[in-house]
Amino acid sequence: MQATFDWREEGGARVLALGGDWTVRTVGAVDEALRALDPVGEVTLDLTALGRMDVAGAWLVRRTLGGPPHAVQGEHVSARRLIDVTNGAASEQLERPEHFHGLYAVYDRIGRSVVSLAQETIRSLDFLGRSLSVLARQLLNPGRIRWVSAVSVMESAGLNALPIIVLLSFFVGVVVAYLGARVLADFGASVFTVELVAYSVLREFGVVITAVLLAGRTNSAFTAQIGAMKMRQEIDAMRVLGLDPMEAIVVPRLIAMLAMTPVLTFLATLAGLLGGLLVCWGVLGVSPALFITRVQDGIPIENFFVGMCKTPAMAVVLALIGCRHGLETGVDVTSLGKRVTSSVVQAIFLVIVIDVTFAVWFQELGW
Amino acid sequence: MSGEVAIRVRGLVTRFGEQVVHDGLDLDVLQGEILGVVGPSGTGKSVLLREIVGLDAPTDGEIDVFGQRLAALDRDARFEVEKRWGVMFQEGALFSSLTVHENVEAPFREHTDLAPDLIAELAAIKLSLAGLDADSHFKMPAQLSGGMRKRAALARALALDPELLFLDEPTAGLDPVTAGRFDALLKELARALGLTVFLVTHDLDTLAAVCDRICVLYEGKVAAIGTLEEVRAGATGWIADYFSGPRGRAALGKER
Repeated sequence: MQATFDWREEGGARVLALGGDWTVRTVGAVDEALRALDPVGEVTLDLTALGRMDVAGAWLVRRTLGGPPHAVQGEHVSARRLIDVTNGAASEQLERPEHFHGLYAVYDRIGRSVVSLAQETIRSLDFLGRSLSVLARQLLNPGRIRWVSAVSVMESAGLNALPIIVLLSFFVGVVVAYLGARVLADFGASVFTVELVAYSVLREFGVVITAVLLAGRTNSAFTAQIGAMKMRQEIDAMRVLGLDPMEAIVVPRLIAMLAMTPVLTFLATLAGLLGGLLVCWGVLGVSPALFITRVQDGIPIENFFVGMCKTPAMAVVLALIGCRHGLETGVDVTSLGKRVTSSVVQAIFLVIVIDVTFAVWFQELGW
Repeated sequence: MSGEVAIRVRGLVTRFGEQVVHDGLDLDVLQGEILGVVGPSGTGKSVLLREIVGLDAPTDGEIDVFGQRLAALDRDARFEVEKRWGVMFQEGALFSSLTVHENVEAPFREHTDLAPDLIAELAAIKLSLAGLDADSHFKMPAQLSGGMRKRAALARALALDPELLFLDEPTAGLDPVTAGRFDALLKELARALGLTVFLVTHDLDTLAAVCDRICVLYEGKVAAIGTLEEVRAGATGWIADYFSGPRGRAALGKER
């Protein structure tokens, strides 16, 4: 039944008479009309025609009257009690906290971002320092290193990532070779496609493809896993049992990544070269034997080491960013989601930054 | 309390693989009563609750809520029944991406066409009815203590003024003072709003303070049902241990 009301004056007294059901499903219809009412002074409430009532209905009555009714006519099973209960709770109606709008909000966000960027940098460096010191301490006493844990991470984070890394690296080799064959042909230099593939895969693509894939696959897994442990207080349990999370969680992952990243990079490099080799063979008619000879004779071995020497840096970044964000997860699900996101973003960002730094450095060294 | 039956369970059987949780369970929850469901851990109290509200399907048996067989209803009819109950889960289950206030607003936004202003007012009323002070309304659930979270969860369960309220261990993990306040609040709200309450609990104080009737689940069946005095009078085996152990005596001593 629809909610209705009647607002009348009866011998000098103002009366608000309720009719129909006043429940959460029906009061929407009278909400605006009641807001327009201005009941100053004492009001008598008439419940004679009232059907069912709930807290929503009681609240509308209380809001309209601005307080408890002066007098009540008619009987109702629950209305009086409900209005009393609602009246008790209503004193605490409050304003929503202000939110910034417009330009102010933009400044607010920029400020917060700058501060958080500074804090993140400091925390990352702090974590790097602590991790390396714990690693050094453990390496001096290798019996304390959790090898089982480390090997298990090597399998899940390294070995299981091998197929996808090799496959993608192969594709990148193919793409670079196609690009070379096409662009270099304009200069009549398409034979140098071999050098293009070899230089780019050895120096850059092998290691960068591996690191970016590990950032998406392994780094995020570290954060999610450790973050979930943090949320369920497993990390706290470790601490009170006298287990250092740095030793039990961070160092095994660091060791696993340090061991596996070079291996994965090496295999990714081979796969990239294979992709280039197949395209050169198919498109340019350079036989595999010739391709290999050209690479062996024409490309200094330093290029291979330029690529490989970046891998420990990548490994440290990937392992530590993943672990740090996991350990800094809060107690709720939202914070876990945020941490995984920033973990992946920071890891990929740093992979590229490290790569650029190395590129500039080697350029200056003339390698 | 009218004599009408709000929830009728007949011949309920639940099996998880080899494990038999309910073995031909019969239960009536009367309209307007607060029924406390107790039993040793693992007797399927929470499972029973989940099956009544349709989150889990029983292996066999019939469950009627408000005289309607839920499993047989189509989507819209089921929706109508679901609007008439509120459920509060053990850990509160507040949506962690919304503020406490938005959590309580959520059912209004979903199921009513009230104006946003009115929804905000009603959410604030529900929260203060549940005993949450004004400071916490706009906090995120993660910023609240366990007791506050339970209150917020109660406010959300009560949002649409349900006739039937399911509570899964509402006082578990609360300190005795907070739990006592929660009991008083529950009793007051249930009386004022004429609620039917299905209350799963381990807390003897809650049983003694708020429940009209008590239902003991044991070995897959309802081992005893009735007022606290009736259940205690006929108590044997586990039920006797439950009510006359040191915790039971401490909680019920004042009732003697």
